[in-house]
Amino acid sequence: MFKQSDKREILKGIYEENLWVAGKGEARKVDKPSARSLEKRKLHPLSLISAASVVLLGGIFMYWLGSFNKAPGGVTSGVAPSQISGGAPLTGTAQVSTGKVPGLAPLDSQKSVVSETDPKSFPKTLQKKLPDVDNLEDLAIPGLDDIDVDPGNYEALAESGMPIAELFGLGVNTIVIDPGHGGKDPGAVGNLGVFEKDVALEIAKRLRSRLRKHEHFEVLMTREGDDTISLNDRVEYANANQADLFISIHVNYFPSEHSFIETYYFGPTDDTTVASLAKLENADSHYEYGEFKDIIQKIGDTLKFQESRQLAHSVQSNLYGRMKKINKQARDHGIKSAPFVVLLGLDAPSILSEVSCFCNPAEEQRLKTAEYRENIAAFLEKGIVSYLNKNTSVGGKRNGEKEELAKAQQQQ
Amino acid sequence: MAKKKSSPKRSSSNKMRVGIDLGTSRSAISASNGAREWVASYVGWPKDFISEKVLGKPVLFGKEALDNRLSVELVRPLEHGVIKEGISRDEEAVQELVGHLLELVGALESQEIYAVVGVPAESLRANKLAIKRAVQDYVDSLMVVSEPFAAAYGRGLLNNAIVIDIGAGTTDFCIMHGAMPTDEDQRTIVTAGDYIDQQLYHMLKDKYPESDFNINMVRNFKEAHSYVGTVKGKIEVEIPVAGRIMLHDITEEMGRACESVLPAIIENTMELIAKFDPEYQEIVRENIVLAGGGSQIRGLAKYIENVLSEDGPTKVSVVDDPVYASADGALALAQDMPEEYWEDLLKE
Repeated sequence: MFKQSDKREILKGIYEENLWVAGKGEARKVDKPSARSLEKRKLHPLSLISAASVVLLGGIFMYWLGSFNKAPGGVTSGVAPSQISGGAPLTGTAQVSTGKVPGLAPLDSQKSVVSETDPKSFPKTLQKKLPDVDNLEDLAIPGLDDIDVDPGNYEALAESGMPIAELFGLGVNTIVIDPGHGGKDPGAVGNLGVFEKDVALEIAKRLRSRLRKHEHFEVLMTREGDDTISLNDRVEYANANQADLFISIHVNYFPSEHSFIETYYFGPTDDTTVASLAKLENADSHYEYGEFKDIIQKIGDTLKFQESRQLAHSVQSNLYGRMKKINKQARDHGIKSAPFVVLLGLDAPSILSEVSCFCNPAEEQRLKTAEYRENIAAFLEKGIVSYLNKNTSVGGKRNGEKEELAKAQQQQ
Repeated sequence: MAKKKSSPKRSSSNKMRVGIDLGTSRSAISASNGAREWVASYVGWPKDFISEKVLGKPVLFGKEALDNRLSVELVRPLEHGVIKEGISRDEEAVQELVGHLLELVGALESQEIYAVVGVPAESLRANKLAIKRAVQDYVDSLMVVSEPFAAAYGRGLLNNAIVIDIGAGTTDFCIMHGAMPTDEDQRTIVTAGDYIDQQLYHMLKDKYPESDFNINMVRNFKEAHSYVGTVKGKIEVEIPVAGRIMLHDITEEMGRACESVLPAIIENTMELIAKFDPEYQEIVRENIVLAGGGSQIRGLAKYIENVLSEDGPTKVSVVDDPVYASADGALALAQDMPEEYWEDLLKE
């Protein structure tokens, strides 16, 4: 039975919270990850990418600004993804106080030690079992001259289908891999007792080993072991290390005969942001300084949105496309945009991939095996590498290293 | 204060307490004078003076705004579960909506209005100040809470319970453990009603490429026929094809679209159950409540119950009156809140 005193405490809590919002009281002493991540963004309004955009765009804008004429009624603002707020993630790192599920014994496969740096430590037979990785397409990245963009016409830019990162040659130097959950938070727990946190960690380590072979970028992980790490700390770690890409690895839970694969990327739920941006930028307007800063911020967010979507698409198509060859029950749940905390607070393009699913005993059994985890890591690698080859420059350069990357991939 | 159309009921005192549920899809109000009203969360301003003359109103709300969307600048201010902070049109739309709701329940300009406003948890966390700015012009004292919490409070589910509010823009989870829920106790995911609409729209476009329908029609199909699990008979809807109305079988697509939100809901629910002390998890399992428009999906509660029952006895129920559950809960909070708390929050 609920006590009246507890009810009073709840009412007092609401009152204090609202008093604080009204600027009349102190904040309650509770962890507010969302608020903190938003605050962080406020302190750093121009992200790494936005900052790069400022430099690169500055000259172009100085030229373009001359062609803007203010539209009647002023500027209609678009919706920057960063303003969509930060909610808890789908499979976020909630601070689980209960720890491990009683009666579950550690699994042998979870004890397996995976080399963090030397991919040769993987059993050679595993390497042979990997599905053939197609030769990487060496698609020429069209230059700015290849598209017909009227200076000042952002609608044409937005509709050209050309990622902004591509236009300005932004590079990828650092990739941060985030194994979901960990420590007190096991994440999803399969019926056979497999923990999501363990599967995510091992796949992450295997993916790191694979990406390090390319030698073009630094590959970091938000956790190396079974550690409890808050969403904020993950985000701060990635931002502090100037991550250029952020890959969060998770495993779904949903009882079914099928195994669902889906990938989330930062952003609103449809393309209204891009549309609003195009509308904004296409307005014939003489921008004030403040508006100019706002535009730059929006471009930074749009860039993150565009790149995250491209990355999600590449990872999902490669992951599902290859997974279905080894698992007939795999089902494609596609890519979805979502304003997760772990994606929102990041400066870099970011995705959250649900690489598999504790759907049924057969799939869970597969997830216990090193071979299956290695395959998933390989599919993720393929998705990331395909994205890098198609959509952005690598290591700050564009064509030369791209060829080297393709070469390295072929040598596998 | 917006002009009042009528004053159907007058409060006995000079104070009116109201609970408002500002939802992505619908907004509802419950007032201390016993009046309850809801409106679809659309606000439309006539595009020009000709439109205004034709429509005869400076601002339209709900279905009327949607029906006249070609003549108005249509805003759905909480489209993604948040007020888009800094975008004045959205704040203005929320202001208009709140003013309209107060009109509907007969709030008088001379009355002091004490309001508890329930918003999607996402919105609450993201921009409390934007909500306050949007609402405070119409009320004298204001408190903002999350929708699922308001729904839980209204049902007296204050301890060892999970409320899942499946709205249009977001699905909000709130765990109740006998204390004011913190951010850690609440979660929001964006796989909700709008997501089902998008899924269904694309599935039907693939299946019936020649048929002519839009997302609003799809939303209506969902509201009339949504289900998970199995359904008896076919679900057929009328859609024009080259100008002729034809019956379309959408049974399988409807089921698949509705089921697309289930993995995320199940996984989050399981994680939230795990947050409780192990001794209490059994009680929590039997205290899971669905609220919001999405709770009306046929078979949903049973489906979730069956899945979760694999790990132990589970009871999933649906609030009796999903349209007003959060507004009624917010009103209950407004009425229980001590007078001195309201006075501290009075506008200066």
